[in-house]
Amino acid sequence: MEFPFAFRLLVREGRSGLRRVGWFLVAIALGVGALVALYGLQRDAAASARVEARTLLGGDLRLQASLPLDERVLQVLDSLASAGAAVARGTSLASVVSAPGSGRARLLQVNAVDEHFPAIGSVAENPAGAWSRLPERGGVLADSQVFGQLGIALSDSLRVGTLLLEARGVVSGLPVDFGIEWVAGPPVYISLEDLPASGLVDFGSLAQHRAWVALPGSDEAAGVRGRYREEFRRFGVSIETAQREAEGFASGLGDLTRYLGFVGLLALLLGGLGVGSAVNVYLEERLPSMAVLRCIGARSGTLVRAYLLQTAVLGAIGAGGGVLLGIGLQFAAPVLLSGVLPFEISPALHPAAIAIGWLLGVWVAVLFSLYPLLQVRNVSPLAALRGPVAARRPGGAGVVLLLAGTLFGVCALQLGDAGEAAIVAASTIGVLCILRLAGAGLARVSRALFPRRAPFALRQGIAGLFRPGNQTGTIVVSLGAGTFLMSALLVVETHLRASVDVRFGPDEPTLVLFDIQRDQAEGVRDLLRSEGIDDGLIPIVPARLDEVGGEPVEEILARGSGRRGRWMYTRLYRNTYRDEQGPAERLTAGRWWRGPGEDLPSVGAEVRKGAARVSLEVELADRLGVGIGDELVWNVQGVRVASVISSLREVEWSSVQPNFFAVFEPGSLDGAPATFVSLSSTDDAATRQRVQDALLDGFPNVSFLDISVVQATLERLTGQVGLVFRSLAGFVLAGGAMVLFASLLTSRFKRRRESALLKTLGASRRTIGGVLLAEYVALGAIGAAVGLALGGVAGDLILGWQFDIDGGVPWLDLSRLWVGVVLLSVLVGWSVSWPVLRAPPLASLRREGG
Amino acid sequence: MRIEVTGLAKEYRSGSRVLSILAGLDLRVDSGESVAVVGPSGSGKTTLLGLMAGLDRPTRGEVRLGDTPLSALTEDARAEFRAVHVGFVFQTFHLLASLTALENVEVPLELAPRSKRRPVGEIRRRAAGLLEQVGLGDRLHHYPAELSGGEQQRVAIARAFVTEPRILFADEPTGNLDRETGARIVDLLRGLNDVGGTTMVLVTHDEGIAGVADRVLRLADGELAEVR
Repeated sequence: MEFPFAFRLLVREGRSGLRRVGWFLVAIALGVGALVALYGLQRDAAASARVEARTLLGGDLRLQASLPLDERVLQVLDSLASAGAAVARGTSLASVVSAPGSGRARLLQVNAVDEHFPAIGSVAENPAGAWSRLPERGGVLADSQVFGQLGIALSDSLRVGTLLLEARGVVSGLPVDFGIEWVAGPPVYISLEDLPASGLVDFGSLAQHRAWVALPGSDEAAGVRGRYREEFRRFGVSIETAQREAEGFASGLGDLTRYLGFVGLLALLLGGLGVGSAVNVYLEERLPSMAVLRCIGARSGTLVRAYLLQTAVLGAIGAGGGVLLGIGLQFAAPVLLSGVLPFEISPALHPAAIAIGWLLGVWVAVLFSLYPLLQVRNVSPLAALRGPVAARRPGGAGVVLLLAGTLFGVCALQLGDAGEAAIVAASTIGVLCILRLAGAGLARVSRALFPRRAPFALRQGIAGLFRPGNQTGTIVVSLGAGTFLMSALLVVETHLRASVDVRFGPDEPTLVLFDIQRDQAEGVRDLLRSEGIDDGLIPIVPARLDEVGGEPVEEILARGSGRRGRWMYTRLYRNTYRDEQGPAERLTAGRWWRGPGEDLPSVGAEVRKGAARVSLEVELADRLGVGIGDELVWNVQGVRVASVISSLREVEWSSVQPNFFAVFEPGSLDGAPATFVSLSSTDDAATRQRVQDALLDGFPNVSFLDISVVQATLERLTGQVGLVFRSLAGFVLAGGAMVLFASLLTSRFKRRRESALLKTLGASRRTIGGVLLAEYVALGAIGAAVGLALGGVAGDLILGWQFDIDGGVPWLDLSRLWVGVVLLSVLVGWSVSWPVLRAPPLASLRREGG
Repeated sequence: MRIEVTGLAKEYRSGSRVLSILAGLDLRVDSGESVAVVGPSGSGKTTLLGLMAGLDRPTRGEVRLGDTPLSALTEDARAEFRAVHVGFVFQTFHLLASLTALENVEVPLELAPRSKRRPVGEIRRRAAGLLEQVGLGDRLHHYPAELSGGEQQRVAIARAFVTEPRILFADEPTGNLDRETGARIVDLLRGLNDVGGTTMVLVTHDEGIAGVADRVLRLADGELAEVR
């Protein structure tokens, strides 16, 4: 091993400045930076979730039910308490809280808690001792935002339901109910003993009844959950552990997590492509030196080792820069994500993420340098000296296998699933093969259709596509692969952003009233009519499933419900009945109760006697494994209601409409206990305020939601998620542009000398520019077009596969990307000719070794 | 070190056509002798030189340098043989652009087999001494791009002689230089050849330059003929 020589060569060549190795380092740094940032972010999120989960959950265990906890559940809680556990209880709901002093009212998160709450942790309070006075009743403690929103100070009165309570202090640092907080405002706390008198919890209200348990040993939580889960389920009580909650936060951020993973994979592949292109450029420049070294006695092994060492060292430096870049991005990300995630992310250095990113950068650099080095290894020195055309020999099957293996490894690392990794790796290799064929096709077609009578510049440019030593194959592959990855990302990002984009049209409701009791329905209707706004009330009938397709739910659960989940068997459904289809629904199977102009048929006319007809949401039907004609038996407050599925509906859940899994035909649930909601539309803020004031006076338990306030909140949240999608996409696209630029630069050195010669022979700047323009436009147009078409299709498939979104390819957006890539190609063509065009011919020739 | 060439042939295949460049040449160059090979462009002079230096493999025939038949050596072994025994001067100089004049001359010594490698200090002294000898003592740390054509070729000559090779191959060493500079280069080559007793094979199309050699051969139509 001639390492001393290899080192000396490295130092000498490196001394010639960053100019020669700049692109190489940048390409590696970008790829590694993206990887380290995304890995770090994922790990930060997981670690922060673990730390915060117990605090967020409020204990090691949390029990939750939409009905008051059953006696049997309370007995278990008592036994846990007597065994040393801290047990706290409470009820949370969204309700309007008003301040008589200021006349303001807000929908807030009302938490009624007992004296043991919180079961763990401490409360930040002002004034000191305020929290300990909560059980004294008659008081309310609130988040500092509440004081601002309602315009109150300490000791002012607040109306919560029918109660008038005294504001006794500001608190923070308590367990949070995300579900309510994201819709309603910040929390207020009252004594659990005050709750019944407030009139807030009636049948059908959206209250959540909870208990928090802090066990003497945290590791007992899973055991306790396992022991009581099945039994509690029968009482409609779910039981959650902090550990599961943490896992849920880390992995259950839904589309965002999957998108992060997808972007991470793209960043890796683009980074790999960038490193590969950079190595190619770097070694291409050094081929003449290698040939000379071999002529004067360097063994091929010496050269391979020397240049491997060079690429490894430069790869290590570039990857080091990438690690720093990645850490910077990772630490900047929490600022960007603040408010999107339900907890603060504390960035930390993750040695594993850093090591993986750095090692992968070096490995890819070495791997990509093997191929060109092995190509020149066995060529005679004289042939190598005569030029790179003669100095290439096909080969390196082992390297290709190593590349395929690395591709698979990278995919497996990112996706965490060997099967999925194999699919992605095989698809990527398939895309590369198609691009290679497209390159060969372009060379062949340009030769066959060579325009012999075209102007010189066009002829010369097109001849460059097929003459010996052409770069058509290489450039079409690298340009196409980069465009492929970028366009796949663009497709996914466009649809994801659209899916979180909540739009409020002029006909959307602006005022939502809920928890209207049956005996209040008429009064609320009159109130709305008196203000001249819609008075349509929508019934809500809470129910659980007892039987599905003739089989009791308990039996289905006992034999295991498979991988599709259990929630659809255990959840409390909020069903409705109505005559018409909703505006955000589309029938996919069966028929509605009646067609246009038909009379309403009698109850159950078409179905089995005693069974009501029900229209089921199509995805729920799929998960339950039922279809048209199948029977579902519901438990409505202890009363069994049989139903037969008569139609399936697709529901646009993101619309601001009351959407339901199950819609019954009118009359079928007439006697069932129900509450009502009202969605009405009025542009006038004063009218909305008058309705709210009247409700506070006459129907204090009825909650109202001013959609314009919710709209602002939703727009803020979705705007932030959209910003995350867009920022990450922008990051990858910028990286992709760099990679494409680097890969196009491969040809730079080939064409520069020719340009200098043409200039010496009398070609004008315009002619030389025309030659390069023709060649680069053809390469850019074909490479980008094939890459875009493949990427568009791949993006669409990924949307369905990973995000469950029925996408469609946004060809207009992709065509913009195509124009961008072609312009980039022209830019590189221009940069190739620039040094030649601006210098005198003699200087150009001397510099280019002519 | 003597050179023996027997039945040397080189053919290139272009599609179905076979192009014969050298058609079974025989040649002997004695140790310390200098031989010039002249001939028109495309006659195969550079190919002959490349085959004699082991830079390429013949289609048929054999080249022996001293007692070593090149065909018995692997590519790497031939490289090692060149590193120790052979110097090379090219028409287009072929200096390493990223290395200074001094470093270019040092490289062959650094590539020598471990057993024959000299200490770093000695390598540097010897390279600097040779550059001094060819008149470039004040240009040691200049890059090739900062040197004139004649100066670049003098660096190439210094590089060729730095290992004290037993054989020197020079391929149109003055082809890129004006007559006056070319004459100085040839004098330099000849002087170094005389001092070290190096066997020299010089390829040129310039009969005047060929005149400095002990013997002149003409290569035409793939065959060699003695001119002088």
